[in-house]
Amino acid sequence: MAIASFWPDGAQAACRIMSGISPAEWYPSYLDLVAAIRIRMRQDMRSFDPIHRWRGTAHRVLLRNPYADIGLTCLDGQAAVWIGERIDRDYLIRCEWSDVSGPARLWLSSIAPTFDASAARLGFAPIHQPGDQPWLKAA
Amino acid sequence: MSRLPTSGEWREGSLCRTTADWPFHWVAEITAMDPVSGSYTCIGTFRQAGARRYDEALANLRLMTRAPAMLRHLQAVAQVLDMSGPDHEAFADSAADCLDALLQQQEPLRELLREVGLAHPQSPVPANDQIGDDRPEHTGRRA
Repeated sequence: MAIASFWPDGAQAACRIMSGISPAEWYPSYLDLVAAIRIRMRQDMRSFDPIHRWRGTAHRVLLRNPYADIGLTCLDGQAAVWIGERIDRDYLIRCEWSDVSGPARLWLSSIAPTFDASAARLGFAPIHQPGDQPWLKAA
Repeated sequence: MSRLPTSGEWREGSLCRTTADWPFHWVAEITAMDPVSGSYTCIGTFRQAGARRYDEALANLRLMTRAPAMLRHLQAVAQVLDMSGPDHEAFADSAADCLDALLQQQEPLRELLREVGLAHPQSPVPANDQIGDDRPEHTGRRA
């Protein structure tokens, strides 16, 4: 349960350690990481544009395309980069007018290997969702 | 029960207008950066009336983000007052000791006053100014 808060619900994520850095160096290295994610992820997935938003208090959105957000969460010495379907107001309005969510999820599953590879190049280890998903069994 | 503010160093984002035309509000994001625990989180958005002048709104914002640091200084000064109170258990019967403890606070206190004062400090780039920041020097050193 605790580990789920490192990235938004339903998002695909990859983690790395972000501790052992001296306090003075931490913020510059955070900025470097943000810049690296914005540059490298856009090289692999060109539909994304840089943006600055927050999901809740911990999940920072760095890149956005018509379907998805790519974000970074830094908590307790861990950094998680994640990709997930958009939840912002504009997107939800689009969802009301047409079926955007279906194609978005299809696209997200097709881009998953690219995201994993891109995250791995940035030093993030892909996290595979836990096997026991009771809500899937119940459905 | 003690109510503590969000831990970490508070940082202000850029002060922006909500809309290009009147009426607008000044908004700025406040984030908390905690290098010890390795966290970077959003505290919230500080929204001020658009009728305020820009520099006034900026000063208010700076004051707001320095509030936890000010609280720490107040606590330090209160400790010195405790040292000078004969009835307090931390009483130190020496004016020199009290003065010494007070003078230890001088440098950070003056630094804080300089930051919220008229002099514009060399503040780091706010987090939301990073868009499109193509860092040519970035070579994946920490990637």
